[in-house]
Amino acid sequence: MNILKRECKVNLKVFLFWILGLLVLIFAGMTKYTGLYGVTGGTSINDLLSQIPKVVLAVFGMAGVDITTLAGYYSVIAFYVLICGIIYSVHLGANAVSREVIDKTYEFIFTKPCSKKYVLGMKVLAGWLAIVGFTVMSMVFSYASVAALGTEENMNKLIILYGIVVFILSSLFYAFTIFFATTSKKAEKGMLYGNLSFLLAFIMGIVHDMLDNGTAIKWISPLKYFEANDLIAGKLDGVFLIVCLCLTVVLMVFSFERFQQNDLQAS
Amino acid sequence: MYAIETKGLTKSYGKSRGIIDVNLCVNEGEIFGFIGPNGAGKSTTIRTLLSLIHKDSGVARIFGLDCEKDREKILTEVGYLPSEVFYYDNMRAIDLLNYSASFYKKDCTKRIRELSDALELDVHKKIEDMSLGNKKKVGIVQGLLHSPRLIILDEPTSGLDPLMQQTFFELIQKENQRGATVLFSSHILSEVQKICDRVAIIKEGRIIQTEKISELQQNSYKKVSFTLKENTLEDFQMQGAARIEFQGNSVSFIYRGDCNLLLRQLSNYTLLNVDISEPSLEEIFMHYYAE
Repeated sequence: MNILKRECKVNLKVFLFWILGLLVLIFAGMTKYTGLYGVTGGTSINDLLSQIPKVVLAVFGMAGVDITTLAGYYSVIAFYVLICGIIYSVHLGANAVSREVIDKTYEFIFTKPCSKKYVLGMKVLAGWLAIVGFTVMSMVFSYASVAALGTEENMNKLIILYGIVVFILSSLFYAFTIFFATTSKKAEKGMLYGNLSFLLAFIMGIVHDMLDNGTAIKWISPLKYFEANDLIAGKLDGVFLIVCLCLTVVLMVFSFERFQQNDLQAS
Repeated sequence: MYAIETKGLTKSYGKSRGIIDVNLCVNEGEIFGFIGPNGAGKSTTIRTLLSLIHKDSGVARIFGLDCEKDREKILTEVGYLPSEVFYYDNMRAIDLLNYSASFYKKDCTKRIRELSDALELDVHKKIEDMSLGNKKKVGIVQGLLHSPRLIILDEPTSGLDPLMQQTFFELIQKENQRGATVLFSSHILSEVQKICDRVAIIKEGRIIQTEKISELQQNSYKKVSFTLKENTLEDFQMQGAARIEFQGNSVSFIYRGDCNLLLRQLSNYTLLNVDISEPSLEEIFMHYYAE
């Protein structure tokens, strides 16, 4: 518990910065909806968007989404929240595995009477709690920002579904980064490979949106596992939910085993 | 049962050498020196014992327990001071020491205070604001605060001033009197000679000699150089002198033998200057152990 407490304390400062960013993103983003809807009257925005190349819409998470509706508009904001959550989880995952080696403090913590797996486990748990906190705060800010708009629409289900998606996909990329960090020869490479895997997933997501039938590509595009229109319709794809959970568990188990066998030394 | 026992312990880092076939037996209650030049394999041996790195082959045991299989059990009994001390900079020393103490199931408050007082360490200072010497003191306190049965010290005196080194040696000797075994790794022969009972010498990853300090002192080497006041010396010979070098009216050599004979021999010359010092380990290795 002492390691967990310390790790949570260490993570707190960065967590607060992310939460502050999240607050600005969600509130500033959602406030724009009133302006967008009120000034243009809604339908003309769709005409405007239809003239924008599909690739640009895909990059901004707007492909196939009707942003004149509150749910559609929220899904775009939630897409950005998801991206933030994944980038944050990559940072957390790399730090959980490699920070002590990079800072050369590993000779302190790993010569204490606890197993390597336990130390890693506490660090991973602390990072994971930060992801939980990020998700919860994103949902709280979403509720508050939607309530501030004063519309009659009930967005509760969509906000919860997006909360689940942010948590599941952030956890998946967290596990990916931990996997990369434990299998890389150089400790600092974990962050790099984690970020590259996110970039690859993002590009694959765009490719998926560009293709009319991108079912096969969807399997390697985690950002598209849970599509905006399905979530707006109140559906969470069960198959991809299981895929994410299984992948996360398998990557974590493998990473812990690998970490146990790794030599601990500064490069 | 030995405090530390290794048999054929080998570790390589890919193509680079680590340690080869290291055999060590450290008795319980002794202060055991472990010397060798930088890069000889001292830290690799220690890190293998602490299971920070995994051995390729051989056996490594501490108090009869396997260093890898019984790692956690062993580490409750071990205090370790690494050669380079890196701690969490944003912490105060007292917070780090309390954090370190929280891993052991005992109250270490009194011991932290005793050790900090002995080393004149201001524990309320942030670690990032401390000098290397003070960081080393934090390292010493965190290594000893749980009164371990085995103390592993890797180049412990670097960064400590001579007075503090003396205090540190006294602390280690007290720990030893309490019953603790000490593995003292260093590249400075004189400090190992000061407090150790026995010593193992490691060179290029291999243990080349293990002997009692008393025997080592009998065979102690001196680096001698002298300058003649006027004449130039073209020939100098003496039993026990090796690697004799002439430079103008100066002569230097490595001497092993009776110091009275050496002084008698030197008194035959009119000297401008004489310097008798301890040769570096590297010089001893290069000119004697290499033979």
